[in-house]
Parts: sequence; structure tokens; C-alpha cells
Amino acid sequence: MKLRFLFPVKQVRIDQIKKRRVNMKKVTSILLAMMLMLTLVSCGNSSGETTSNTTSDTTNDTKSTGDEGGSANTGNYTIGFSVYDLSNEYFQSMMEGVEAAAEENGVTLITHDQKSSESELVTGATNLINQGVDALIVSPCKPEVMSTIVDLAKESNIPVIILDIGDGGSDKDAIVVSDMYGGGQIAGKYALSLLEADSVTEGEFAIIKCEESAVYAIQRGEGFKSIMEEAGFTLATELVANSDTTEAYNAMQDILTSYPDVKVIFAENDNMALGAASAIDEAGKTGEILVFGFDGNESAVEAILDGTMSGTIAQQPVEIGRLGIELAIQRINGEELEFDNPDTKEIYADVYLIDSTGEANHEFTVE
Amino acid sequence: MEKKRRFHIEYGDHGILYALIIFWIVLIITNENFRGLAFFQTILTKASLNAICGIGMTFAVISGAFDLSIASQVALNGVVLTLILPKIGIFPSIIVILLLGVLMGTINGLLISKLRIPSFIATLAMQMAYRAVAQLINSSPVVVDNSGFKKMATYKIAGIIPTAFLICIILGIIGTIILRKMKLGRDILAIGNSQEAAIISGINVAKTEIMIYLIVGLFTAASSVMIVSYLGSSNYGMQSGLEFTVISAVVLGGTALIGGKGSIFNTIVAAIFLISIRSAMDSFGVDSYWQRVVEGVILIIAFSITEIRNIINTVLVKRKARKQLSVQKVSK
Amino acid sequence: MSKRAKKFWLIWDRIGILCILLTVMIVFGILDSKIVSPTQLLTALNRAAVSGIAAAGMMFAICAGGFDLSVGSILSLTSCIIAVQLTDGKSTLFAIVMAFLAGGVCGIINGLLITKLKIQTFVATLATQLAFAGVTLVYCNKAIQLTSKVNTQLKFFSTGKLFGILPMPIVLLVIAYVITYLVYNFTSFGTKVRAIGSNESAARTTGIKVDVTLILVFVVTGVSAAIAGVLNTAQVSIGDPSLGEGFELDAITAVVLGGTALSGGKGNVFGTLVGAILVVFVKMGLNILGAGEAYQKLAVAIVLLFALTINGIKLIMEKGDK
Repeated sequence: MKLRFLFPVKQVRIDQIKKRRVNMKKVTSILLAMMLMLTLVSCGNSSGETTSNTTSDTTNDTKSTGDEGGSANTGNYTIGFSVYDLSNEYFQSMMEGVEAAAEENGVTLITHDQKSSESELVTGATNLINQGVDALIVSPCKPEVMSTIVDLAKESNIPVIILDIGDGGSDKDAIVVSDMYGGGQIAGKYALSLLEADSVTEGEFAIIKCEESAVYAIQRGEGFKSIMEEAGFTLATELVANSDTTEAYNAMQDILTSYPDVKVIFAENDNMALGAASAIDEAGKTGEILVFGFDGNESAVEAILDGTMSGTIAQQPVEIGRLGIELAIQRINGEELEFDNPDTKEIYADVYLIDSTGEANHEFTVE
Repeated sequence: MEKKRRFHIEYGDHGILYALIIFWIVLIITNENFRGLAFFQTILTKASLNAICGIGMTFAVISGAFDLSIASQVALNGVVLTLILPKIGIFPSIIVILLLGVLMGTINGLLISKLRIPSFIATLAMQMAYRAVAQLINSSPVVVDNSGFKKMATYKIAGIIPTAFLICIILGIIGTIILRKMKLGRDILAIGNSQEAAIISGINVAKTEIMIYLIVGLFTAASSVMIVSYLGSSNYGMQSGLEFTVISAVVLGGTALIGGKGSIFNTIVAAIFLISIRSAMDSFGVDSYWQRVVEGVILIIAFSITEIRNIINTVLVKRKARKQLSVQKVSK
Repeated sequence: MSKRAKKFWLIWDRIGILCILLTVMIVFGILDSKIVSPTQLLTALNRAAVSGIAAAGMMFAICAGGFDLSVGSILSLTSCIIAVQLTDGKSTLFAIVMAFLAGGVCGIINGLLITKLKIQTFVATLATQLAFAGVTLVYCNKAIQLTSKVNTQLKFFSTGKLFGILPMPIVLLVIAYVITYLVYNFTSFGTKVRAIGSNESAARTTGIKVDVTLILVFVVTGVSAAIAGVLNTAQVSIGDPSLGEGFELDAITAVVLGGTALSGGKGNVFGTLVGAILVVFVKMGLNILGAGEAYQKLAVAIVLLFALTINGIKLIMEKGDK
């Protein structure tokens, strides 16, 4: 009786269809969820990264009982590593280092890719902390959020090791830094030596910069500028190309228009250097203008061997990655770390020049 | 009776809620990471940040438009917030940011309703403008020093309920009240259904349109406060791409892009669903390149679920008809 | 609206954006004459080729009443395909053909999602943008430098000069727009696109195969993104999985500036070309003047708002008539 009041007679058919629709709703919702799970699990299996999670079952069991097992029992350790962006060659190398060191030390590794998003960084690091990792290694896309993460990690007594980029003023356990400023200076010194060989002692140079918010990377240009200006060269212009290859290509063309006599170009990363090199090549000035980059990417070395670039500054992402694991293990064991700069808890990783032969050149250094 | 029926259709179905619950159950069974409360708390907190923004965006999508400038609004709000927070304290800062959001929303609304610039273009332009202003105000990142402020996003009431989620629910209720109970909400739904009909029925479309973007700006500002609290910092380049995540959540929640119907509750559920997918993929160790593909595919499945349903329906009906026909033939 | 006003708006529809471009050029010329020198103008045209060609394809999508947000990912994908194939030793022709095929396949996927699964174009291409980006990374996750060993033929598209005087990018740009103009105005495909954009259900009733046309539209967008990808890769000599990030907004801005209505049905081919050139010109001019990125963004935003405000005034006047 009640039903007929709510649904008048002519609606009865719709009623029946509604019922089926409701059932279809539930069925398809379940199907959707099932499809999702299948997709996730099959992708997870095919990627080959499940080792980190299948072993975590056993390590989680043994963790509670075997924790006091002593410092040598690294097989019980789980370390979380969150990285800036795996679509970038530099961080792919860093990941290699981390994975290799983790395997060698028998440590279980759980990885996370921030995909250059600061919210992913915080969420991912929080998840790793919640999963109960023994230590957290982070190479942050936006260092300014590290304070939040470090505070959270401290609540669970998890040591935090930061790799490269910057610490954003946080109270981490250690940070492994490459000397951005020094790297730029090395490039400057090498540029000067090449120019000297051609008897060039003055002229204009230009710098192609990363985006303003990359406060650590833009130190590279500052270092280069200091050496060049000290030697008497004039800074023609500094253009921002947002770490984008095409923007650097455009910027380089603009530089050539405004400053046709420019002698040296320093781009704060290899992607931009390659774009600039291409523009110089198209203008027919390869060899007349020196081009330097930063990162030591494979693509840059190819360009150097091809003659379109003059050099790049290589960092040591693999070493930095390994160092991260080693430092993390030390901290889990409660050992004191040895810093290169105890005030800032910095440990230095060398940067070195890859010169115009495409080989590493350790002659040029900074004190 | 008529009213009830219309009510029912307006709410839309709750398939997304069932999907979320089932998804979570399956995850809990298959993945031990999901058995901890902390995991769900993280998902709810992160999702709430997007969802609060989504509440505002739901209004825009209901009226048949989107606001592409929200990511830049968050950036500008964030930069201003970290600038004034040490000077005037938490609550005054929040008020200032909410007012700033209202201002930005009003600017958007004026461009769209008074200057007749299509919403897509106006908000596209303002996206560039607000981001540029944020960069000019402060081109370096700022770390928040105020620990009380930072706790806002991560504090858990009674250790269980994340504050961010609670605020999201409260704002969701407020949003729903505006949408369902206030004349403004009904007007927005009417405009979404048909602008001409709305004009004919006497609705002040121009004023309502401004209100829509004001609401978006207001909720985006609220979201900005929570986001800065969550990240503990601000940066003029922050939250790039947020508009797409939020629009996906709104559409996933059933609010149709052609306008006229929508549900704030579903938007919130959809936001949670999207974050759950990401956390699940991370947890299963899915290779990060494939994660992008999987997320795209899942979005496609989710957006087309009604159509997939129809296709399955048609296939089943056809099979049934064929069976009946063959039975008839036999009986003849 | 008076007759004169009507005439004004008719003319503005055709060449309004060109007037804006000329005004901007004059302003820049006053500030720094280098910006409007013939070589600089040529550079601007060369630079506009990449976004311009993609904008031509995007115009069809917008005319049909939708968007294609995945063109950036398609550009990245084609860039990587070219790089991998060239370094693998395949001929330039093969690499380019593969790139076009990829663009076409992506377009078909977009089209099918929109027509068969009935997903709205905005969110459908949003999802495919993500998916295609992922596929690109799976295929190639590092930047690949195209050295002089392999890029000499490819470089022709960037530095080559047809008949010795016409720079290739400009040639490609002009050809693309001539084709677009002809297809849009003189083929049944163009008419169908406009019909679908104006009123999809009416178009269906008149017997137009809406689904097939829409799929073709997205194939066009995909292939034009692929062409843009070839050109961009030739210019920077690198295959890079992130080359096209943010590219779709450049293309959409150009189309919108050109006067194509977002509601569909009214395309402005010449306007789109001018729009693409205008955006490039504003950024280039400010770069030369030394104004930073923030000011460039503001400038593009102001130009966009200005151009559309004028459009809005027209709408208000038209409404006054009704």
C-alpha cells in the first residue's frame, strides 16, 4: 500500500527497471573495483618491483622479535626511498645506486616516485613512515616541505637522510650535497682555460637559468658567473628557461640576436644546454661559442663527442644513492655520522668536469 | 511525490561510494599496508585537501563551466599566507586568505559575466595571471615556522579522525546547504540546466554567475590554507596541475560536465577514490611509468562507467531476445 | 546595432586579431627596434611553427565542440619515437612515418573513447594525456641526443630552406594552414565538423556520421601534434619524453585568440595562425626586453583577456539587438 503511494501506478514499470538498474549498479561497481585490482596487481607483478613488498611480509614478522638482534643484522632493516622524479636520468642513476647498495647490504627497500609534485612527496613520505620503515631517504623535489616530513619521522624515531637538492632548513640526520656553486666554478675555470688556449681574454658570456624556484640549482650559474667575471669577462645576460629544452633553444636564439659576439654559454642543466647547443649549431656557430651544461647526462656526453657542447659538470648520483643507504644503516644502528660540515650536517659528494673529450677531467677543482 | 522523484534524480546514483567501499575492502584483504589506520588517515587527509577545492568546483561544473585558475589561486594564497602568518597570527591570516580567495573569485566572475568572456578562457588567462603575481610577490619558497598552524592539517581528533577530513565534511555540509537549500544553489542548478530557461524564470544570471566563481574562490582559499598547513611551506610553483585532479574528482563523482546536476558528497568520495588509487599503486610497487598509464585507464573506465553499463545492458538484452526468439521458433 | 557597427564586427571577426598583433609589434618596435627587425620577425615565425601547426589541428577539435588535452603527450611520444628510431639506424623517413602513425593511433584512441564510450572530450583527453605520457616513458625514459651522425636529414625541417630562400618551418606552417583552410571551408569534412560543433543532435538527425567524423577530428589533432613533434625535435635535436609538457595550453590559447568559439561551429583559420604568432611574439619581445617569466605570463594573460573582452563587447551588442 505504502509503495503505491510513493510510486503511482504508471511508474511501476520504471520501478522494475530501477530495481534492475540498482542491481546493475552494484554489479558494475564490483566489476570496476575488480578490474582495478587486477590491473594494479598485474602491473605490479610485471614491473618486477614486488621484491620490496613480498619480502616485507617476512621482515615485518621478524622485526618485532629480532629487532634487538644487533647492528650486523641488516637483513631485518626496511628502508624507504622517495625520489624526485624517475622520468629524469639523474634520478634514475640515483635509484640504481640506492637499489644496488640496498641489495648488497641485504636491506629491504621500498621506493616511491614523487613525479615532481610536492604533495606527492609529503603523502609518499608519510606512507613510508606509516609502513614502519627503519629509515627514510629522500631526494626532495621541493626541499621546503622537508621540515614537515622530518618532524613526522622524528615522532616515530625514524632517521631521515636527504640526498642532494637541499634540506629546506629541516633538522634532518644528514644531507649529501653536491657543490652546486663549486660545480659552476669548475665549469668557469675550464671555460677560461679553453678561451686562453685561443688567446681570448675578454668578451661576453651568458647564463641560461633554471626556474627561480629551484633555489639550489641556480647556484650553479652564480658559481660560473663569479669565476668568469673575476677573469674580466662581462655578463651579457641571464635568461630563465625553466629547465626546458625548447625554451633554452628559444632563449639561445634571442641571446644570439642581442649579443652576437657572445663567447661562452653556461646552462644550469644539460637539457637546456642541449637546446642552446642546437640553436648555436643552426646558426652555424658551433665551435665559435663554448657551451657548458650541468648533470653529466648521457645525452650531453653524446653532444660533447659530436662537438656541439664543450663540457658538462657531472654529479655522482649513483654514489650519492649508495651513500644514502650506508648513512641510513649507520643511523639505524645508532652510530654517529661523520660530516664534512658538522654545523649543517652536510656530507659532500664530488662533482667533476667532463671535458671536451667526453672524459672525466679532475684537473679542475675548487678548494 | 513529484518533488521526491526530482530530488532522487538530482542526487545522482551513489555508485562511486559503493566502488570506493569495495575497493577499500579488496585492498585491506590483499595488502597489509592498508590494514593500518594511519594509511587511511593519510589518504583521507590528502583527499580532503583536494576535496575542499572540489566542493567549490562542483558549483562551477554544475553551472556548465570550469575554473582552471584554482591551482594558481592556491599558489597566490599560499605565498601571501606565508608572508603574513608570522606577522598577524593564524586566525587573522586565515580571514585574509579567505577574503583574497573571494576577491580572486569575484574577478573571475566579473570577467565571465560582465565581459562575457567564456569561462574556459577567462580562467585560463587568470591561471597565468595569478601564478605570475605569486611569482612577483615571492619567488623563493618559504617554510612555515608556526607549528600550531602546521598541526591543522595533520592533527587527529581522538587520535582517529584527521582534522582535514573533519573540516572537509563540515565544508561539504555547508556547500550542500548552499546548493540544496538556498535560492542561490537552485539558481545555479537552473543555469546549468538551461541558461535561457533560467533567464526566463527571472533568475539574475549575471549576479549568480559571479557568485559561482566567488564560491569557487572561497573554497579554494580554504583549501589553500589546509594545503599550506599540510606542506608546511609555500612556493609560487606549487600545486601545478591541481585543477585537473579536482575536475576529475568532480566529474568522477557524477557531476555532469553539461551541467544541471551534481553532488558535493560524491565529489568528496571521488576525491578519496582517486587518492586511494594512487596510494594503492605505490603500495603495490607499481612501476611509476605504468602508474601514469594505469591512472589514465582507470579514469577512462570510471568516466565511461555509465556507457559501459549501457553496453553490457544492451548485450544482455540482445542475448535474452535471441534466446526468446529461438524458443519461439522451437515452440512453433 | 547600427549598420556601421555590424560592418565593424564583421571586419573585426576576420582581422581583429591581426590588428592586435600589429599593435603589439608597433609597441615593441618603439621600445626596442631590434624586436621588429626582419630577422627577428622570421625567428618569430619559425618559433610559431610548432605551436601553430598543433593549433591548426586543435582548431578542428574545438570547432567540433571539444578539446584535445593530450597533444602535449603525443608530441613527447613522437619526439621519443623519432629519436629512438634514428639512433637505431632507421632512416629519417621511417622515423617520421612511425611518428605520424603514433599520432594517428593516439587520435583514434581519443576518438573511440569519445564516441564509443561517450566520455566528454575534456576529461577523456585528460586521461589519455596521462596514459600517453606513461607509455612514452615506458618506451623511452631518457633524453636522447640526436648527433650530427643521425640528424642531418631531420635538421632540414628546422634549418632547411625550400628553393634556397624559404625557411622550412615557415613553409610547413603555411602549408598546414592552407590545407586547414581548404579542408575547413571546402570539404564535406569541414562542413560536418562545423555542423557537429553547432548542434550535435541536429547533425546526427541530418544523417551525418557523427562518430566517424569525430574520430577523424581527433586523428587530425593527433597527426598535427605529431608534425609539431617532428619539427620541435628537429629544432632541439633531442628526443625527450617531457618535450611536450604544457604544450596543449599553448595550442588552445592560439586557437582561442584566433576567434574560434569554444562553443563550437565557428572556426577562424587565419585567426588561429595569427594567434599562435601573437603568443610567440609577446614572449619573444619581452624576453629581448629582459622582462622575466612572470611578466611574460602576465602579458599573455592580458592579451587573452583583451582579445576576448572585445569579443564580449560584440556579444553584448548582439544581445542588445535581440
